[in-house]
Amino acid sequence: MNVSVRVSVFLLALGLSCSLLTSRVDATEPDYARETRLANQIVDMILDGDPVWLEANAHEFLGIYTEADEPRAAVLILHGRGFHPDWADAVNPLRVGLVEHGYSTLSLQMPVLDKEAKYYDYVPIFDFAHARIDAGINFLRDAGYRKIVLLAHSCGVHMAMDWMADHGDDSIDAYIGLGMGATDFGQPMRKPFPLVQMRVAVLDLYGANEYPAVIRGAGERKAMIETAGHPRSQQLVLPGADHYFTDQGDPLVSTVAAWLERLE
Amino acid sequence: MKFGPNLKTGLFYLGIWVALMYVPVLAMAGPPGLELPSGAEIEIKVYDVQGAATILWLPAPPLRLTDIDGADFSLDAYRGQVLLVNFWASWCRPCVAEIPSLHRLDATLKHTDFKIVTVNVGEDLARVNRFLRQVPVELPVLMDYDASISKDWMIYVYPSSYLVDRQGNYLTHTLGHLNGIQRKLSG
Repeated sequence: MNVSVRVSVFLLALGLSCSLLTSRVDATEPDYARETRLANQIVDMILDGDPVWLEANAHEFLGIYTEADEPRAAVLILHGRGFHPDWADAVNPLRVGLVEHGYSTLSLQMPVLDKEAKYYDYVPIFDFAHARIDAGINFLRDAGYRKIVLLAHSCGVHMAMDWMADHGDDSIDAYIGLGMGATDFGQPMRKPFPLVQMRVAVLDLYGANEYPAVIRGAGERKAMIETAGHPRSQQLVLPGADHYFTDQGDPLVSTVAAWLERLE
Repeated sequence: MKFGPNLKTGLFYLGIWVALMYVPVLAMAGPPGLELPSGAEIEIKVYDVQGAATILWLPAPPLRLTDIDGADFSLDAYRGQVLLVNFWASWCRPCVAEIPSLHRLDATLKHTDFKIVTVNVGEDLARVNRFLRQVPVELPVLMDYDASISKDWMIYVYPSSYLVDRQGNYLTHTLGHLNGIQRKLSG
């Protein structure tokens, strides 16, 4: 192979690599059509809880409301990137399991994009998540809940933290972050989490087999939580759990419920 | 509701407790080693301290392990003393972060009958020794190599600690760091 062919092959490979690394989904709003497809797939499959249709940014979106007998509080659940409010690994166990511990749950459909979308593709649509969190809180207030806990997983954490940075934490009573700080390769977080400013109790729960970014950031998050100073805030590690808490539903629910009970 | 093996163990002990409380014949035939304070009642306590849990006052399961030097350890040797049993692993960052708190707690209460032991869960001795060279732990370090003891003790998240009373009963289970326990003991 002569030199010019080698250079051409190298440049082609380099260009392909760069295009893969920088590939992006240029979206200025959620993929509403995909959200509708997801909702249509799951609504008829819901065994526990009831679908509710909320509105944000002039669009309806799905929530699943599951009421506890004599509820102690309500937990508003935000799923991770590209999933839905009944996602099997972490969300369904929590939205159903917490009810058995006396906590009603409202699990929201968060904004989704194309399957290929990365963290940086989602950052521009975080504002759409704000309106959904507000709508969820309003729904729970209207249902009579005085105590509302915000629980978010993975990309839902980024959305919740962005909402928190914008709105403060006055309208919630506690915050639970699962797998906080996960991003894509080569995409460091755009904004630091506003944990230092938070006045409510925070539970930072992650798996022992988490993504490296989540584990690397654990010390910094713990320091921020301690600086914020709420005496009930904790950072905990679930052994055997990965970022998605695969097959860890029972210990996940037990841990979250045990922490919530300690807040009362 | 589906009960896991740990909950079943807890309910088993609770069942024994209830049986011993209310059925004298069964009490006479109770299992050896299960000591009941005279006139004791089933006690459910909610401690309003950071990290403390609602705990049934149940006998703690056996804690027969060896330490990092291979010496045998048994909970029975600590009867008559209040014992904090802290479960940890070297990969658990909040566990590592609370080691100084454990040292402070131990120093504060060293002239009392309060003792601390730590249990490393599921790691091999070489790894733990490497870790201890970097982060010295000036407390007994017991080795639960196969994590079987931690399962008996219902440990499902780290850091976790149990406070065991002078009769060998669970008092409190804490999730996470231990400032609340320190406050409770010292206050």
